[in-house]
Amino acid sequence: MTSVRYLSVPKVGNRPNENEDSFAFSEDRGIFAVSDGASDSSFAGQWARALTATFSEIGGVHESGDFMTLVKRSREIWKKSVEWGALPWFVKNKVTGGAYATFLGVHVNTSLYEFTVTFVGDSCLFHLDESGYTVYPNMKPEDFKFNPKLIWSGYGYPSLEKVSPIKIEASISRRKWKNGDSFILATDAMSKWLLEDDPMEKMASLIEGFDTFGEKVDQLRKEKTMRNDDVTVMLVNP
Amino acid sequence: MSYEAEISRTNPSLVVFMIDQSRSMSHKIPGSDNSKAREAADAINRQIGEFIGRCTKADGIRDYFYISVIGYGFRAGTAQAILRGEPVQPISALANNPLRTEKRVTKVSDGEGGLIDVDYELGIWFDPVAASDTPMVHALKFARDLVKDWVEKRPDTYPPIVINISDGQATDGDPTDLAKEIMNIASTDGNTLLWNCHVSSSPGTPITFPSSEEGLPEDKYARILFDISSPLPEQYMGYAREMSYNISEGARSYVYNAQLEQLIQFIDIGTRGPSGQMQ
Repeated sequence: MTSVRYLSVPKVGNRPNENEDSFAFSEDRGIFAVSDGASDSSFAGQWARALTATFSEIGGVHESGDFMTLVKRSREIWKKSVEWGALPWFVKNKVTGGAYATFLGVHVNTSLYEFTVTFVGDSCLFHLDESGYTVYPNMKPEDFKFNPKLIWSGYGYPSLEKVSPIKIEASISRRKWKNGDSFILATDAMSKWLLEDDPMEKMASLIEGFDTFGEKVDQLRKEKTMRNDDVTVMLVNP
Repeated sequence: MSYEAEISRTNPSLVVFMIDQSRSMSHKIPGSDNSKAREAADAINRQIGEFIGRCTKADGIRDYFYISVIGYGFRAGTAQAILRGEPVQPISALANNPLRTEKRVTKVSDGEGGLIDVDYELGIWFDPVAASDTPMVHALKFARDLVKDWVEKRPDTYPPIVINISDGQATDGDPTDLAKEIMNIASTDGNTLLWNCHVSSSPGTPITFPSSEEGLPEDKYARILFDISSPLPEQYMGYAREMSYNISEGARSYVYNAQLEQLIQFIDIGTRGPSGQMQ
């Protein structure tokens, strides 16, 4: 029986409903996803939620055609989630350019002992097995300073009817896993922290202390060893 | 390190624009068919709009910034806050209370590396004026009082930034002592920044972010402005270099003989520091 534990907290100073990270899962179907809405775009939290919910609804992504379906359906949900006409003038100015988000989704097949990981940007999947860990995408701590790849919602008001091409391509990988393996899905601030210094020890401390890890995040932020950002992490034991 | 404090709703930052409204601001600025007064007002109005955009979220606008615009010379010997309402206003108050908005067209990415035109509303909070003399000392006094009060109430604030746009020398005395007083008002994150933009009517070569008085013209006023401009913090040097400015150690936050391009870029670089520290 697959177990899932998760934590999603806003950056210090923001309220929980201002968290622009999103996550979704269906342990019965082996579906897990996180997304990080880009805070300098508009309605980014809604866009991140549209992506994770759609990933769960369509049963994951296994090929590039599925990814196009994910983006198209998510765009429809995002557009319906906003009351465009009621927005004040300065919000309308900003929504024209649409919203952006990173995305990481995993489908774990418990019959074939395979998993398929799909990612755009710097949210990371850590696959832990008896020999260590593998991270998707293959990031190093210093890579997090660059602008990540992002999925675009398409234009917002007043350009909703303009054609919004889907240019971005996701990386999709299929790998094997074994009994006893674990998966950690994390948005960028947590991923970067995990990869710095001693990743194996940090992952062990995350797994052992998961239930109180929210307090640990507060402490790490105060020490400035973790960036003050929305943090989402999900631990999956299939 | 200074200029690293996080800007949040609980620890907002102050941006003060000082704009010369003397008669000579009615002359055209090289690079435009418009007057210096018009282009300076447009640049500040656009920048207020930029701040509003950065602070706008799905659930409304967050007060990361407080803004003041001080006009001087609209009446002889007079300087005062020229935005409707309080002298210092949270960005939400400005968003909800522009003088008017004007329909404009801007270009945004088409997602394929190209650009398309989309409509947007340009907020206007004040109109250009070019009327009288240049009481810069009065304006600096006004700015000093705002900055002092701000930092006393918020000792950990990201340091306030005061951006002064003028085309001539002060007609009400030497601004040096007051300007230095402003630059010495410090929060725990560093000293207040005073940026000076000298806008020109002549197409002479602009001198941007000079690191010494050498190279400036034999003009007492140009040297006074150099002297009362803050040393450019390291982070801002980076922003300036990104815009292809050749920056040396000791560079000052000053542009002499600015034309339209330098005016716009100067304000952009000056406001990128605080924008980059938004939570």
